[in-house]
Amino acid sequence: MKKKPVIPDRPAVWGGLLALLLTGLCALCFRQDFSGWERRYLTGLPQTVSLTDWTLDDDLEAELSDQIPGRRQLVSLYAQAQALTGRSAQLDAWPLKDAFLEKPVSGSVQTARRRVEQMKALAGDVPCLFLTPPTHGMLRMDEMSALRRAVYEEEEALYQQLTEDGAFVPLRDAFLSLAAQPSQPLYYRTDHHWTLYGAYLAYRQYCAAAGLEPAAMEEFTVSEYAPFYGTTYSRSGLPFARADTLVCAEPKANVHLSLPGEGLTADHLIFPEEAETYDGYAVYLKGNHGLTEITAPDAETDQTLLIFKDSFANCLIPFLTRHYGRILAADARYMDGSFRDVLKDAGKVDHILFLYSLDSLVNDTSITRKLR
Amino acid sequence: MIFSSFTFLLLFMPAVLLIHRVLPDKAKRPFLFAASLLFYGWSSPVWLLLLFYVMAADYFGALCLTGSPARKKALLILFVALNLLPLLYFKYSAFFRDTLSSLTGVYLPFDTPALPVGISFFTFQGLSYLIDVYRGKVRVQRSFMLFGLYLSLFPQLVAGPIVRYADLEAQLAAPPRVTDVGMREGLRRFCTGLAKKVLLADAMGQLWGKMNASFPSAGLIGAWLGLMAFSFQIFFDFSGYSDMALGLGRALGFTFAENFDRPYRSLSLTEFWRRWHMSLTGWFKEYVYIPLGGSRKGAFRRDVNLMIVWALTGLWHGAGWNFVLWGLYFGVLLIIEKRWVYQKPWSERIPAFLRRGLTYLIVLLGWGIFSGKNGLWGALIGRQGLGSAQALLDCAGFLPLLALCVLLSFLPTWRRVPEWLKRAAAPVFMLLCLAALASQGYAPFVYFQF
Repeated sequence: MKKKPVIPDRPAVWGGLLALLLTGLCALCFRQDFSGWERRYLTGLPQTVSLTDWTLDDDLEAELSDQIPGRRQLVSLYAQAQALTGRSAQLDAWPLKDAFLEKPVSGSVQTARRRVEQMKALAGDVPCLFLTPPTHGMLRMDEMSALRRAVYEEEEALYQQLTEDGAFVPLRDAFLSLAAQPSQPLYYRTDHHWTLYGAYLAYRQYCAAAGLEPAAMEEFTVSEYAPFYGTTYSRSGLPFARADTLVCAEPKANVHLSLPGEGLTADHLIFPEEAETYDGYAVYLKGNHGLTEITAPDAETDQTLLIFKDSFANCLIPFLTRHYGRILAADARYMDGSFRDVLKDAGKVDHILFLYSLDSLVNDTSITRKLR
Repeated sequence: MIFSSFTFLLLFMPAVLLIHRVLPDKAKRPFLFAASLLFYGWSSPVWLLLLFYVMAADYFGALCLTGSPARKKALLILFVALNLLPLLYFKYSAFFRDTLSSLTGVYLPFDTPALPVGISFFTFQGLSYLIDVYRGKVRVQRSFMLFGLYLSLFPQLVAGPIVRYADLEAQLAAPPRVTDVGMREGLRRFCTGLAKKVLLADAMGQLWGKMNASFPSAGLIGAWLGLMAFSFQIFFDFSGYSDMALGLGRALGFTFAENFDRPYRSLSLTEFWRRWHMSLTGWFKEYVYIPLGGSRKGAFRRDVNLMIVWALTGLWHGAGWNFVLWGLYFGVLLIIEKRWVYQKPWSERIPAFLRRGLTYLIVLLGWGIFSGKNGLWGALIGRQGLGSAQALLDCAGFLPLLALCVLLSFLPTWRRVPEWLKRAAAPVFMLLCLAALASQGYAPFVYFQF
């Protein structure tokens, strides 16, 4: 005799179908505009529907996908299922022990070299240096499986080919020598950025290359903000991570920050209130902006340093205020005009620093556009 | 609308099933017809005109065929041509133009039309109706709504199985039989099919996509594992869709014929094609192979008939020479098998696992032809080495899932799974599929393009 089901047929069918329908209706009725953990604006339904340009099917699908109740838990569940079935390499960030690494950078070294040459041509007679840190993955290859290591070795080869140019500040050996130091990690576990210690190490290497005497950490007020969950963790989709602590250095000397695009000025470089937001890394210089100007009346010189940069620079710039009376930082992703316009408008520029992560240097097309 | 979309899973399906359940019997068929039109028109409302055209051509064609017997054959030819016209235009006109251009240098200047989803399926269903009415096998359906419902019934509208009118005639005429047990069984089967599609086929498609995007760097290992992944993507995608169609049909009170019967376990190609896409092979057998004479006119004529059927089968799958070649490949191999191998004492003595393995290998290489990827063959014979580190890393990550696909495809049967586990699996599958869809967006079914 066939056993009776634990849940009778009618409640099982009705309950299941109603649960699905209610989920769909909730997604449509209780919508959000912004997803903090994904760091993006969510899609919305179009205001008008056209029969000749029919997109309502895709729009509704995107809306339901974005707004489905428990989306974060669903994404986490699937990420876990992928990791458990061996497909962690298919996640947008790769888990490695307690860390979440960016996928290895790949791309054409020739294209990147051409870009570097264009940057040098832009600098012209102004002395310039390049600062590109080794990636977190490159520092932790010893902990990886042979196959994963092989992929990062390809990334490392790309990095070495690119940075063997004399204009690059040598960072690889310095980073490798300190990579295993657990008390002062060079990279965040949950984010692709370097920590204050990574930035400070790069700063010391920069000083050596530029003939400057580096400032001691004591010249800065160090503050900490926890918990911090960065982008590689959120991109992985995985549910659990050991939180990071943001460590920031504020110059004890006078500084003045100006964000012309936002009409904002401040007498500090660290913004603790940003630690509470979805993008905690914005504690440094209030995040990324097209143009950032910092003046340091107590600096060693009144020289101007122009930095073409991505977000890696934000944590390092406070250290440079010791040496340059004026620092201008331009971020290709958010600025108007070209790099040449920035250089022209900057007035007298004494030094130029190109500070980009390997990924930006090789693959960020906005840099190519701004170099034209 | 596709089954593996939030729109279908969270709005359309539950709403339609619940409303259909509570409606009085009289209202069930019209409601289902309206829902099916909404289902089809949702992706692109303009294609509804095409669906109505095919409906009207077949409906009025069948009515005309009940008239004077003298003109029946001419009328059949006329309405078959009218039925095939959209398929020929939307699916094959660009193929014809390109072939003509490459053979003669003459280029006919027209844009490649977009392919309406499911056109091959509902065209063939309409044809089966017309021919069966002509043959007197079924009675003409005088209700346009019921005929429209047969052609557009949403569970099987866009990717089969190709339901012949003869199989549905009695079900359409009888009062709908919707029961709680039927709905539960149907939904359970739907969830199993959805899991096959979303959790297995899409993952296999991901691996195949990675490998075929990186020929030749995929190398020997990447090419073979990628091709295997493609074979499982096609199987789980299409059989998953069939499971969903059959499950939804059951939940709505219909019974459709099975479309797959564990084809990769076949011991021969003949057996494989009796287990794979059974509704299509049955259609070609009934409406092409047997009318051509089948095997009744000698071995040579049978072989010619087989080649015609397989060339058409290839062409049905896609307007490209790779599809024709794929069909002919099976045509030739089936002829060889039928003449010298199938059910011969020497071949029966070969261990079953070897015959299975060989059959799968032949089918696998067939999928290679089907894919039309040029770089594949060089990679399959190791011309580009074992594969790049990235390709090997990708392959390694998919190995557990690939192994699961092999087990599910080749193990004898999973009907011995305890009843409680089957019941518990359905909601778990649904949850995992929603999770996968939330993570990766939605992927159309492979067979939609056919």
